[in-house]
Amino acid sequence: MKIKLPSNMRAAPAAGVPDPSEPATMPLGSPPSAESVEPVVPPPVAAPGEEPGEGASPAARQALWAGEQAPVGSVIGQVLPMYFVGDESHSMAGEPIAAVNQGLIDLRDEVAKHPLIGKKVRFGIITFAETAQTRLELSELSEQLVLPALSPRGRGTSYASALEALRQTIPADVALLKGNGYQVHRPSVFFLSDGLPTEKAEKWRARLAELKDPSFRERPNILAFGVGEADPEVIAQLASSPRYGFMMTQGASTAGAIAEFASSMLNSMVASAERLDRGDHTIEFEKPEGFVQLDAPLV
Amino acid sequence: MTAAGRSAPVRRRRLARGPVTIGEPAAAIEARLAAAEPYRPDTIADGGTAFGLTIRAASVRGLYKRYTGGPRQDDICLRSHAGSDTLVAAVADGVSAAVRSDLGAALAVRYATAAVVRQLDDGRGSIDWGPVFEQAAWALVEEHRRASGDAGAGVEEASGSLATTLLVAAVRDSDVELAAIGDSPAFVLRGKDYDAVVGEAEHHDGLIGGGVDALPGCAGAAQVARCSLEPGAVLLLCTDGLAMPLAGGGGEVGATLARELARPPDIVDFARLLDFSRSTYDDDRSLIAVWGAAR
Repeated sequence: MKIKLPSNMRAAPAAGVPDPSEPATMPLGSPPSAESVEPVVPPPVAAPGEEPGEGASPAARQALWAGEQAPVGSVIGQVLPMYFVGDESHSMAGEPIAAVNQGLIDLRDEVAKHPLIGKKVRFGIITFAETAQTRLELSELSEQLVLPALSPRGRGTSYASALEALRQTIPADVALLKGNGYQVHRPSVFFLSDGLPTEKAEKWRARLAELKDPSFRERPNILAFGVGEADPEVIAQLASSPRYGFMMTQGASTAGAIAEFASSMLNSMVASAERLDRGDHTIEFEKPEGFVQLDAPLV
Repeated sequence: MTAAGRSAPVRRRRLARGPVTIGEPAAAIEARLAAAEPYRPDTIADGGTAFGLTIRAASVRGLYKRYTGGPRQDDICLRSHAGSDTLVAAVADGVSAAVRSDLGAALAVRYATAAVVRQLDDGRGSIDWGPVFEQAAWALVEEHRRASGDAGAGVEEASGSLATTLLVAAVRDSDVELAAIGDSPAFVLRGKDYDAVVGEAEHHDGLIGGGVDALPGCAGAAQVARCSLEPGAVLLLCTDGLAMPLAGGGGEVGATLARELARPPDIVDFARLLDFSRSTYDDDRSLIAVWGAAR
């Protein structure tokens, strides 16, 4: 069956760069002079690490997307925001903080070289000691992304400041993503601490309640991980579901447990981004080696 | 992630037509053959005319499963009932957390359409959807019992292995009856406007997520609707792999589909259209389009 081309789908000139005024799609039928006309084939987009295909010079690829500005209010993609919230208090000095930094580098590199996940995940880093600091604004994990090097600072361990930072950052990030045309999935937070909060329990609990409040539309899934001297009861309270609280097994090496945590965070990112379309409200996660899940009722 | 280095196949010029790209394309990757038992082809395409209606249907494997070698978990089914001049169509989207949801989707569309056909055989004026979903759900439980060897297994166990959404429609002349469990939506396309009929996911807090109803667990929770398919209108039954990028139809995807579906494309071109490349959208996609009878 021959398809009659709609009037707005004339054959484009030989160059592989479509006229920006043309529709974004390829014509679906061959024009009558198909044998003599160069087919209008957008160059394949090379997977990360691949050389771009023939004819796909960076300039041509750039031009291919030029003039394809999405209409105002239009959806251009879907993203999953994920935050790492890490303890930078003095007790993390030495191997533990080095394990965190290496874990973040590995995570960036693995996600960046994945052909599909990198575009769907946005990653941010918030650290806390006496105060909280946003060390990485929510970003696409590309090979060029410069990661902050975490280092111990301050004397205190303020969970309240970290939770408050999340409460402020997440709605702003979601609004920005939506404003840029993204469908946004419920954010996830990976919270890692090696010690007890050095503030009054009422203070951090109040901030936690605000973050978990059902009327807070952008409330995140919170996965909480305790290493070193962290209190399993506190870690269990931080988690947004009893299944999301994890404590390092007693006697294990803190640095080793952090490395396992980072590897699990990567796996969770990949598995969760894979199932983005499914509509599940849970986050994909498997318990890291060297941790126990705190979903048993705590007496 | 060993497959990261695989490159896209080189298209021969005489066959080259390029991917249908809408906006920023997704990465081009060579698909890994699906490992599934029973056999699950990457793409299925179907269509034809019946009772004055024109039908196009396709189900394509998502880019992510092409990358990992997973089977397509969407499925479609078409049946025509000559005695009542009725087209019966179904789409299903297997829940990926269920390990054999590809089979769940395949069973659900076949058993549900067969159940509708049996009602038409009995001369029913309108479809009684309750038994349709119950029979589809029962097929899933039976399959779980057969495969697991656990004759006492019930809905809960079957949900763990075969869970799927299900959308079924019966089209007679311009009268359309539909019912859905889960987030596989139906629209009527009129010009450039997509009117949602049933099954569209609601996101109360503006974020994506919130779980999905699925068979066999939610067999009693069907949304039922009725609509009219006047000449020039196109009934669209799809899975969320298309509904997500379509996003209500107001953007580039909606404009492209509206333009290309203004009249029925060739069957294979219909499948190619559905297989459009768009960054971050890599789920399975299924679409059944029905053009109404001309008056």
